Amino acid sequence: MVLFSEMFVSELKGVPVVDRLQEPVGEIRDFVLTVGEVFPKITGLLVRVYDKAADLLVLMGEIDLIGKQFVVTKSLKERIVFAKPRADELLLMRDVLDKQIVDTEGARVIRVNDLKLGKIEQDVRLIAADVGFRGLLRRLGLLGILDFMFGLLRKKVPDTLIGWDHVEQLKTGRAKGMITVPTKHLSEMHPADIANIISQVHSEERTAIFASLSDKTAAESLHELEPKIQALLLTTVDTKKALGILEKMPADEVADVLGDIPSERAEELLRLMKPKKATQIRKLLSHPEETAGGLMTTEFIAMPRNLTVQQTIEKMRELAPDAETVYYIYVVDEAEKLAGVLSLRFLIISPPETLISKIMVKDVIAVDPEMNQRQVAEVISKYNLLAVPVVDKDNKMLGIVTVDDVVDFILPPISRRIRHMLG
Amino acid sequence: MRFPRLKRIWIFLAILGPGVIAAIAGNDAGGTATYSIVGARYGYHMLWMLVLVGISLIVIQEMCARMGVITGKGLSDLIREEFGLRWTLFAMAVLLIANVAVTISEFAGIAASLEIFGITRYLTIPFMVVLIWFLMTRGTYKGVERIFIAMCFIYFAYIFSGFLARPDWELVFKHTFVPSFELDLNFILISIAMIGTTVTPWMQFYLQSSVVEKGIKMKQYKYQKWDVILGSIVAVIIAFFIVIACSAVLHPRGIIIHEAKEAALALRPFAGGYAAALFALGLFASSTLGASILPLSSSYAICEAFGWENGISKKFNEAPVFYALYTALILIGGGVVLFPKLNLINVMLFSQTTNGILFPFILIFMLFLVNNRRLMGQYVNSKFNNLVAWATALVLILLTILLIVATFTGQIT
Repeated sequence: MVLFSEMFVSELKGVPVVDRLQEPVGEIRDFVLTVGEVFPKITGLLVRVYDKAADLLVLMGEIDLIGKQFVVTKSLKERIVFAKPRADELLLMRDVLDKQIVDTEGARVIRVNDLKLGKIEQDVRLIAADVGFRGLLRRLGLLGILDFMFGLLRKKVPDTLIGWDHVEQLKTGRAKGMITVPTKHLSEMHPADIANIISQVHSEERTAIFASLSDKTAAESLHELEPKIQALLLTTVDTKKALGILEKMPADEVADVLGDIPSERAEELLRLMKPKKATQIRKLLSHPEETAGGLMTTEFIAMPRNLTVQQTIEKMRELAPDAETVYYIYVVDEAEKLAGVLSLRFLIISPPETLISKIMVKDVIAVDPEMNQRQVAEVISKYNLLAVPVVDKDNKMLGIVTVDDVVDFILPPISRRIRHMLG
Repeated sequence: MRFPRLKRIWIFLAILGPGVIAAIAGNDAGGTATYSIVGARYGYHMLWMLVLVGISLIVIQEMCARMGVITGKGLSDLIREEFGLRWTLFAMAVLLIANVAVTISEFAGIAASLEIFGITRYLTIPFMVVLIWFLMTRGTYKGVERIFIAMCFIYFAYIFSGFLARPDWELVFKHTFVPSFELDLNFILISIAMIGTTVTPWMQFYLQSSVVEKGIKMKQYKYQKWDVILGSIVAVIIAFFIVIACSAVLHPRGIIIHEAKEAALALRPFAGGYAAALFALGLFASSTLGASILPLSSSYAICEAFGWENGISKKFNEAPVFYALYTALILIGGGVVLFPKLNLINVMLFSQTTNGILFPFILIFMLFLVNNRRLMGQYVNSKFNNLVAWATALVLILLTILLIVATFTGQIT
């Protein structure tokens, strides 16, 4: 099979198909492709066959040559094998062209204006998506005019192509039950980029993308999303997946998210969670969302005052994986009252046999659970803290609020993603 | 969390919005002018048509919201994905022309309302153009929007005014159910304007996008559906009473409305000496709301269809086409109104006629989409929906043909 150089799908639509004696057979309607490989392979042409007045499938093995002027088959008209296309066939023009794709390199969602085919070894494959202005004009048959006009200025408008190895196809437009393209790059992207993409696509695809991520990546991306989308995703993914994701999130973030979704769903998830974590979360949920209590996490490091530096470090090795921050070690007395705080740095540079109650800072800056989140942010920012402990009236430690929980109040709201429309 | 019964109301209130807000904001400059003219010039004669338009408004808006819920995509996305590039170009051209016309009428409304307070349009329009541009692109719009929407409730004053004006209820009743028609250029022109201002191209794009943006699922759709139906009913009731008030107050005195302050007289039975100020405030709020939403909603629709970067969260050099379109629309809208000696009422009326002439094209796209089983599954249109929607499209096309014929045969009265 011969393909004259690389070609755009728009240039091939409606191209006449002739047999080896130049007898007209029909014209190209669409291309059938298989997925699963980096560059999807074109397996056949959907041809409008004049004699049969139907759109039939001609497999690539029957084709001798594909050109912009015509397509030639290997055998004579009477001997060409036509197949009836299945309903779930993946068609290039119907299912890919004009749809949205994810450009994983640029981390954006973009619309396909045209598609480029190329020959790789013996196969014709989909090699790139044209997402630029040239693609639009080529589709409209106006590319010649553009090139002429820019030619006068001695300039050339470049193609805006995205190699298919950087494309993630979305579920869009395909009938139910069709094969979904395996996620290649998406799961390897930064969670913030994934979140950015999720917020740009339509609701059904949001769930599809989200469900395809690993629990850990999903948990990290979820944190980056707007509350509205978070809630939507957690209500639409299946319960098992939702639990897996919540398991990977710190308790305070889980509480935030659960506070936004319908109460039945939140209850259901809480019931199925590990009892210890569920209890923590229920406690957090009892505080209003915009207060220190609502912001705090219960995963902090607290040590009894009678430990030595050496013992503390050993104990931290066991506890640290669960804690939200390891930079502050809180010291509590027998009644679990907050007695002091110790920085990680100070802990490491102190002699191993020293009692931590001797080296800790006794004047701890703490907030009470009812304090408004803005004030909490002010406290953290004023004293340059990485975290601030939350204590009740008896000075008993309830949790900590870390700087990343309040960073939105400290920084101007530029980083917030305001997505779209006014509705 | 602990009040399951309250929750149901909460869901309703949360979803309440796109439909009702679109309906109230839809009663904009063009709408006010058109309904007032209908009442002032033809008395109760067109009420029957308004009832029919009301039915098609409910059907079409519901169709649109349903499409948004099922497909999860905006109207321009769907047109691009299902009809390809050439048809998209056509649809977007239609939308753009219609929206330019409406944007002009919104600025005409702003100018007219502030001229009632005696401030010249040469001051107000440039000021408002700049203000709206900054409000929308700097993201401070959300808060301001609520104030404007609240101000739009002034239009409910027409309901009281309509009653207090003591209309001839027998006549109102008769003309609500017995059709009458005149084969006259103005009558046709105003009929198209009345349909075109009630069911508009931009509203379909705006409503469907907001439904999609809210991420409403089929389970919650029953609430959304009622939001849309309620919104449509509210819009038509207000329109109905604008017509009645104008018929009762203006029609007997032979005032056919050349200026906005004449239209304000219809509020006199309710507001007395404050009628002009009340009318001007309502008109100003609804026009500003329209002038803010329309250019932005058009830019979104067009950029999404062609896959250009869009969104007010992007910087100018990230989304150049989006910002260029948005800015151009506002400048054209404001600029046209500044032409000397332009009659603002006529601008508002003719822009609605343009809307009405163009709407069938968008409606036909919608009908093909909403009846596509591959997209909509079991939620395709019912026979009744199809009947109403196709009838609306055909009536508008027919009226447009009549309008052209009447123009060329010179039946201008």
